[in-house]
Amino acid sequence: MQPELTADELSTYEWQLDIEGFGQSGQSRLKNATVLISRVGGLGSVVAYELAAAGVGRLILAHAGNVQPSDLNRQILMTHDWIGKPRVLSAERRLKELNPRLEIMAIEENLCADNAEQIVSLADCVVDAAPLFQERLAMNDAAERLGKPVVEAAMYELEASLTVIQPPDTLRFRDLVPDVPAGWQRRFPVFGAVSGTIGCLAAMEAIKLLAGFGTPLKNRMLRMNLRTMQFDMIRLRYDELSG
Amino acid sequence: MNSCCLLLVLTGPLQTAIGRTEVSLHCPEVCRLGEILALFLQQYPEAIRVLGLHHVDGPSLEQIPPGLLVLQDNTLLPGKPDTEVRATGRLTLMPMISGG
Repeated sequence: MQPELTADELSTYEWQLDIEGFGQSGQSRLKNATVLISRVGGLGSVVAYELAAAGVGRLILAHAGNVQPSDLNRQILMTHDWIGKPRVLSAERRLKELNPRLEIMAIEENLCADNAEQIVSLADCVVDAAPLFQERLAMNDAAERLGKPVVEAAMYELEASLTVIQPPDTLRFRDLVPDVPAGWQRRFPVFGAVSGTIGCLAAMEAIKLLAGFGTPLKNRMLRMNLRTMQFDMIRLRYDELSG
Repeated sequence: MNSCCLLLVLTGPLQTAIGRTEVSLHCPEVCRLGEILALFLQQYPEAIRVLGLHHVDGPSLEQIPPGLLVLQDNTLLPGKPDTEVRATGRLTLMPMISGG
């Protein structure tokens, strides 16, 4: 049983209620949904903003640390006046300005093997926007055990990638990344417009998964290069990988 | 066995390290993925660090570096050194990225 939409909600979302396959049923599903966003940096902040705007009922934001000046070229939920204060609380106040109906659980921690299962268990869907493979692996391991879908989004320089992981319907994240790649550097080159682009697409995947319409990016990976504007759809061959 | 010119398309940190979007390799018409990667790393040692390796010994890698996806015709190839590859056309070497 999905929750009733209030008159205020019907008014706020009326332009998206006309979307084929979505409607009031899809909006009610969003209202009833909880999404975990692992880090609300350049990518995750845009995911959170779009999900808040779309009317997702509850967001769990996990991100440690305080706002730094070097965050501000891309982390659109952080502001100059919040430098030195917790990032996740900056995100919370900005999202509440956009959608005061939104429930937010702000966690001043990054995901790790010790806390991933507990945090993931609270969500219907997870969006992975973490900059370290250790976090991605821990969260995907937990999501796999709990049967939760993960929207895997990442970027580097002017490139970005996006896929949906939900074993056994798809391969596992560990089929793509069996262990932490030793060559990945914590500091990566980034324009906010690139992390924002992939953040919007990741938000749309989460909305499709939650509302149950469209075709999620399962067993496919969208890879884009904004330097050349080349977009490729990669087939992830589950049969051979899992064999 | 005939020798072929295989085009390797580089993405992400590999492209940054080598400073090129693609390189070509001469290799047998049919060879194994581990052999192609070993040949690539011998010719472009600046890629070794990007893939988290320290050095390359021998004619084939013993395992594919974690997180390196190899694509042919936009299809993921099994990430095993003995995966047979027809060295015609192009392969894409795509290290998984994690920027967020």
